Amino acid sequence: MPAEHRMADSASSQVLEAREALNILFEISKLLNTGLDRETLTICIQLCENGVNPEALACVVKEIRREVTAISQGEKQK
Amino acid sequence: MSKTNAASGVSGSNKLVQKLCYLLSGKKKEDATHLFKLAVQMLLQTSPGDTNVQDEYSIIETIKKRLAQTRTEKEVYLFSDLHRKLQAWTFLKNRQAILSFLMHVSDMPQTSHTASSSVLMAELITAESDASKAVQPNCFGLPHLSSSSLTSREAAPNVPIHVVSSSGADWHQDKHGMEHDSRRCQSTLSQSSGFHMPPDANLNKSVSSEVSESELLQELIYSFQGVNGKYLKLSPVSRGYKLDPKVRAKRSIRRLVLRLAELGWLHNQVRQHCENAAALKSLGLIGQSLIAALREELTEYYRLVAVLQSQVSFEERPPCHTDGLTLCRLSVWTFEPQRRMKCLAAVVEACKDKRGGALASCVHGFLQHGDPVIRETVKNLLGAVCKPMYVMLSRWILDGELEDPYGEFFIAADLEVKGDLLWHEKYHVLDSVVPSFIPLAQAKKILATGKSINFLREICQDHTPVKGREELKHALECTSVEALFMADREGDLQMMMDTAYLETSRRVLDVLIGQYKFLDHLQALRRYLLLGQGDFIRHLMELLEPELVKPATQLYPHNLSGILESAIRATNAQFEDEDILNRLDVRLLEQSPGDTGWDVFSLDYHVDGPIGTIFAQNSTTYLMLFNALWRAKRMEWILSGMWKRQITSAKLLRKLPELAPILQQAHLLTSEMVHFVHQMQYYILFEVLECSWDVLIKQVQHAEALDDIIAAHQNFLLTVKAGALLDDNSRELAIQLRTVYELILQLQTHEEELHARSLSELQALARHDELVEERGKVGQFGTSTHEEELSQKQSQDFTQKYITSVRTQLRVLNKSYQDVVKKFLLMLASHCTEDRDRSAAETVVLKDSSHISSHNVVTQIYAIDSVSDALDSGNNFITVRDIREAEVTANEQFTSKECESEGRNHICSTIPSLHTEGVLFDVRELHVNNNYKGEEFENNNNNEMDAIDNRPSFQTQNSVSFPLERVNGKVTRFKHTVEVDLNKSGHRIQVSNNDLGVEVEDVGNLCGISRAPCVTLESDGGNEKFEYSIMVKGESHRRSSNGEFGNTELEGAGTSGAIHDTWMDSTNLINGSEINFDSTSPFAASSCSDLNIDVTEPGTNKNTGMLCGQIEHSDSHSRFTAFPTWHSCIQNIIPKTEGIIHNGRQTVGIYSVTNYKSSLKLDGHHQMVSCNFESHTSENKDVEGTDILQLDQETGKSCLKTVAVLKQSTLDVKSPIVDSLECSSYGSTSEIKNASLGGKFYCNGSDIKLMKPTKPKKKEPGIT
Repeated sequence: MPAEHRMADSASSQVLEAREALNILFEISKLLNTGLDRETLTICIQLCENGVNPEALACVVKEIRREVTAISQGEKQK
Repeated sequence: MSKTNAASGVSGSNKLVQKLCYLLSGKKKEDATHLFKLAVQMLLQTSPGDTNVQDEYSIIETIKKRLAQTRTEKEVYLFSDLHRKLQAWTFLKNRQAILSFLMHVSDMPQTSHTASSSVLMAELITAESDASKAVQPNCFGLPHLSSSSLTSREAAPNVPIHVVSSSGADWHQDKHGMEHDSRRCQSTLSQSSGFHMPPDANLNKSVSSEVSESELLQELIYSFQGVNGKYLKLSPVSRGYKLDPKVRAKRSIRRLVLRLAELGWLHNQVRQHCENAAALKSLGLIGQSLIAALREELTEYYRLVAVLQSQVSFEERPPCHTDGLTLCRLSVWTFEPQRRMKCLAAVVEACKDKRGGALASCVHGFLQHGDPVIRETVKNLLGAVCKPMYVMLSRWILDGELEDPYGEFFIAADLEVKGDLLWHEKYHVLDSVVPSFIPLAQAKKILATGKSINFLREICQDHTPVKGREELKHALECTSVEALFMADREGDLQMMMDTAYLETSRRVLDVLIGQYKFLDHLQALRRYLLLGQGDFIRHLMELLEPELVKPATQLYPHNLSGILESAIRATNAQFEDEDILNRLDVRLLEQSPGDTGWDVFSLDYHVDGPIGTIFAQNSTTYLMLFNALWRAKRMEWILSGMWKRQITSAKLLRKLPELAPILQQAHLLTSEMVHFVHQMQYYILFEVLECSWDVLIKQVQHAEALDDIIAAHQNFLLTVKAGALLDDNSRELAIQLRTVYELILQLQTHEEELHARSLSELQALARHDELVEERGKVGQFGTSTHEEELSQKQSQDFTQKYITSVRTQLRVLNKSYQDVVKKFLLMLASHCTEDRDRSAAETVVLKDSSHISSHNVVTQIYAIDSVSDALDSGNNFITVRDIREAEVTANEQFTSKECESEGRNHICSTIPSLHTEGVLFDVRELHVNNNYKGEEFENNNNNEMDAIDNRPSFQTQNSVSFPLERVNGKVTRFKHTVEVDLNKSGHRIQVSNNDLGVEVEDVGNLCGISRAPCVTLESDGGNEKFEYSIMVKGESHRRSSNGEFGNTELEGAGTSGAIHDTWMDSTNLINGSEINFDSTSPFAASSCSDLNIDVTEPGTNKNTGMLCGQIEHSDSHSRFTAFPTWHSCIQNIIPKTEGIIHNGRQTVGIYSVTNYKSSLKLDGHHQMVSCNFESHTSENKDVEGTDILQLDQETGKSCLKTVAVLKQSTLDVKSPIVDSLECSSYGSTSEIKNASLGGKFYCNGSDIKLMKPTKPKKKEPGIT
């Protein structure tokens, strides 16, 4: 969130632009059935912008999801 | 990205990751923390720079592809749209990374590897959960997650130790095992494709050691297009591809690559040919179409290469290696194209220097292939190749035009030929260029079709279209080219071509016969040149006579033409068509000094225009025929003139009685000549001309094409020419005939002179009488002494001098005429004989001769007319052959000289004299060509074999081979082959011994051999012996050897019968008379013995006859063949005979003949013998058989049926039908000692001979 604020501060036009881009990316994300909500997507985009390996990030996202489902299943079983 | 940025980015990233974990974990703090740890660990494993493997474009493409796979097209568009918009925003620095992230997160169907990994994971999860351990560490301990190059905890410093260690020792162990596994898995993966491996790492690892498969694939794809790659290079020496030896690759891969690279080489071959050939100008249309077809194939091939290329580039992207290309896949995918290409390359190689029809034939040769793919390929090629030819063919058939700029069509035209020769010489089929799928006969028809069209157009000036042309054109257009070479003979196209041929030919015939009156002209030729129009010829001859007696130099064609005109006008010829009469003309042949008009005069018939095609080339033949006929006609005319004179003057000349003898003599000679000339005329005009004419007309009526007519006409002329003794074969005859004619002319002059002299004498006499009478009236003395003396002298002069001279002249003339005619007739006879023999191939083979009164000589003669083919070579042959030793010498006397001296005509007269002296007949050539092979018969020329083998054979190779095999000095096998090559019909008789016994193979049923019973092989003190017997047309012949093969003795047993087959030389060798055994005598070591058993009536013990037979033994079976005596037959008894038969070593068995019935009527017309016998052997007691002989006197045929012989034996006796009349007519027996029995009936199982004793007094035993 702070990064976003910083960006927004630097140039209000950029915020608009970013939002626009985010919108498009969100669309694509929906299209591709990624299952990411807007917030998560924003974080991921930021991470990518920061130079994180996208494949690894994708892996992480998937793994975390799996972990979470595993945990929740485990809880349910209990 | 700057360093500071990166640093701040890292701290920022951590927060972001934390947040992300929080969000993803469903906003649970405790979960989020350990998730965070995991995430960080994973993220740290990969350096940020690694992401640049794929460019944005390829990511987009991949996404699109996946979308296209799972979603609708609309969404693909939507995505492209969004992406385009995204591109517009410059805000995002790392768009590519984001897209890549999205792509990977997306739940689109991923590669199966991910699926399998999740399955693996799921399994692990369940396994771990079963162990009721904490979930978290298990999850972290998943091998898949650690499957990257992370091997130790050092690589993940941020991970708390307790996380790892909490799993305890088990986990450690586990992890080691897992790690090992995953390593292995990795290495396999890296071989196929670098999935899940960071590509860079993969590359770094393999470049130093091995070339990756994808690279090899790319190289291969290059090589497929003939492009040199980095590792795979075109070797300049072998012209194939070679893998760079520096490249390290497994041998199997190397081999696979090289195998695949062959496709590239093949492609290069084909392409090179295309390029080379295209540069050639002389290629021709057919060659060009081949190149075009090849290029098409290449295009198809390039399409394949493009697809492969796309597969390769696709494969380079990590996650989809299962869809991608591997070497194995490539080899599977290119398997078929490679075969195709191989086939193309083979075609290309074969067709290198060929053009035109030869090229098509060459390609057609490849069509006969079992592989449908190749067949299809070749079919396409051939279709293309044939297309130009098909067009040419259509043009030729439809319009008769040769559209062949490169000289590729199989029909060629000689443009210099013009006019009448068009049909015969202008067009021709080039044999070497005719494609193999068009038979030559078809090609000839095609030629004739187009030729006919041209003929109609150019010669007949007939431009009306031929019926059915349009339909044909349409049909030809509809038919595919493939019909040309694919369809069988009854295919549509063939039918079409045949129809076109027939219709065009019909049209030509219609035009010729209808418009150009071919038949009328033919008729006219027959009438005028072949003297068919009798009155005209006769009249013409009369009119011409005064002109033609002049020397040839004084003849003027215009005078003769005038005479011709008047002759026409005066006879029926005037009603002839104007056109025909205009064509009729006089022609004077070349003169030689001393020729009279008769010699040079000839009629001529102008044949120009279309009919000239048929007649033009035969004009000389017609002239020749006319001359011969004209001369014969003139002879007839002269003779009839003479005869007329003789008759008319006979009365007058009666007054001169001294003239009577010569007049009669002249008259006789004239009559003879008239007869001769009439006969000749009759022969030529009726036997030759009329018959041939009839044939010709029939053929013309049934002709399908002009060629048929031409052939028929040609044939007609040839026949007539031969018949009129004008061909080359009868040149001498023609000369002889000319001599006869000259004699006639001589007689004519003599006769005229005689006539004139006689008349003048008569006149003188009359004058004298008149004078006397006048003077008597006046009252003077009738005649003065002086006058009397004068007239006396004159008449004396006439009677004495002239008449005697004429008489001698006539006598000389008569004599020479007789001689000449006789010679002529003789020549004619032999000529005809030759002719007939040649044409009818009628053969009489006379075999054997002579009966000599002495008892120990028997002669036989056979007439066999079944071997006619042998006469093709112009040989009649006679076999002189005898069965007795004594006659072997006699045989030697029958050298070719003697035989040749006998003419054919003597046969009939010779046959009755057979019993008195040995005579031989009708041997035109005695030819002996016995060829012995093998060491055994090396010395065959200096012993008795020589004498016997000196027999005529069919002027063909008559070879006898007799190789013997020896094992340990013992003969174990032998083979005796008699080969007779009768006009290459492949007759062969082969007797061979194998382990089973003796086998006889009689190829072509030459001898009617039914069996070859047995053989004995013995070793007697180091000398081998062998013996076997073989039945030839009912004759048993035995061969034996007494050790030295050079002295092979051949014996015939039971040879009193007829020997049919002269060419069975060595099997028929006989050096002794018939061997008779008493039933009690032990059999020699031979396995084939003859047996005579006395037949006694049961109970009475009275000897009623003798049963002669033959017993043959072998290890497996025995056989008894009865030769019942005639005597017993007549008695019609039922003898029961028993005998013990042993072969010297052991008793074979007891034979009992029971129920023997036979009847034979000597004078009747029907004879029947039936014989039932049973034979008991030691092995088997059930032997029975029935022999039934039926002889039909009228047909002269007899047949013997032998029903069942030995039950357990393998023998099967077939009974050939024998012309028994022949046998019985000429056969005679040597059984002099049995003469008291009245004869001997000889029957031995497969054949039958009726024999009668030779009683010198009795005439010709012939008909029984």
